[in-house]
Amino acid sequence: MKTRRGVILFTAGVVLLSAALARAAGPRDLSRVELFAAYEIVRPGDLLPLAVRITVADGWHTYAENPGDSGMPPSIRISGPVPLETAPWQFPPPQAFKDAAGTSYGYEKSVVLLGGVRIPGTVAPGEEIELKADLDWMICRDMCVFLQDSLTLRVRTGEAASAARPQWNALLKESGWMPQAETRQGTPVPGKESK
Amino acid sequence: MKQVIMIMAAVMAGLVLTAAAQERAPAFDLPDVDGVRHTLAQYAGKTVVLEWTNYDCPFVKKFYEPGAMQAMQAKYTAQGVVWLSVCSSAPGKQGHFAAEEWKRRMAASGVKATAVLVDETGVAGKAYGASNTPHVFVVRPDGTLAYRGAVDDKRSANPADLAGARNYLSETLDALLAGGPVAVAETKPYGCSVKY
Repeated sequence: MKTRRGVILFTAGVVLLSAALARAAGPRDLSRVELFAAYEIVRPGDLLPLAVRITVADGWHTYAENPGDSGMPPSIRISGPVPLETAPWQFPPPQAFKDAAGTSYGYEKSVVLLGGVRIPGTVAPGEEIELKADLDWMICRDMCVFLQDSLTLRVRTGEAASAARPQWNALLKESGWMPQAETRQGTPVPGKESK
Repeated sequence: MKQVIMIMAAVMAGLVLTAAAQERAPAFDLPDVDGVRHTLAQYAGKTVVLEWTNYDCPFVKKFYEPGAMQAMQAKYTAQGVVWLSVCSSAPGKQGHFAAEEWKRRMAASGVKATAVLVDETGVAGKAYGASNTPHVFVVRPDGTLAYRGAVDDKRSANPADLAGARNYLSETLDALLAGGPVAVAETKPYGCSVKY
């Protein structure tokens, strides 16, 4: 009886200790990823814009597409119930970091990467599609942590593509992909302004 | 006569080119985790691998956790290659351990290197220009550098990317053991920074 109570106490102790350790040093506290889609309803055959936000704890940074002399670029693999055509991921201009290896390029605090996936024209309207993103990314400060996560997101197919969700526009503005001071009449299209 | 001079000039030009391509590997004198000293000179006549390492770097773990690095260590040391892992982490920095912790880690992961050398002042790392972990250097039996750079061509810390990667280190060692030329003498290393 005494032994059993001892075992229970010991187990409880281990569980509490593990929980404390996980809270103190869990990699999820250092960095997390989120997946966003521009539309809730998408017309089959259309490109659905996607975004991934990587958030990192203070003092840490993650890496750009070309990370320079150390680190690695994030890897994002999108899959779904059928083979999907994906757009290449776009990275905002990074900042430079110096370390013993030289200069590396990446982002502090948070970065939003933009991509997209074409919903095949063969999918019927009214279907629900689950998209999965498998992510590998690296965060470093004086040491590095390799992280992996899988995220899912559901969209429905419809006759007409919906306009972007308000949250999508907010995300693009907050991350610098869309100018903050947008005119009421519409957003200027980058690269199309007259010279 | 003219022809002879031209041939001699060509031979000399060839020698100069060869000398430039065959840079001598810097000398070193470092203790292993048991305190036994190792020098490059003592391994003259053998092919030597110098593998800069930091067991807590995710790019190093990519090769050690699935046993890929240990498999290469076992395969090539069995063929007479001397494999020296080198850690240039300064005291207090990631990857620097006390002797007992080194031994525990090496036993736990089944390290098959000839020795693990401790370069805590970074003198050998700086002499070689070791910038990353992993960063590998292959020295020919005559003391010249055959290869320096990354282990493979997949800039990733995901062990799943080992499959299908081009392994420059194995390629170099296979070429040297077969007495053939080394196809790629230098690549850009990838990984963590060395914790000097």
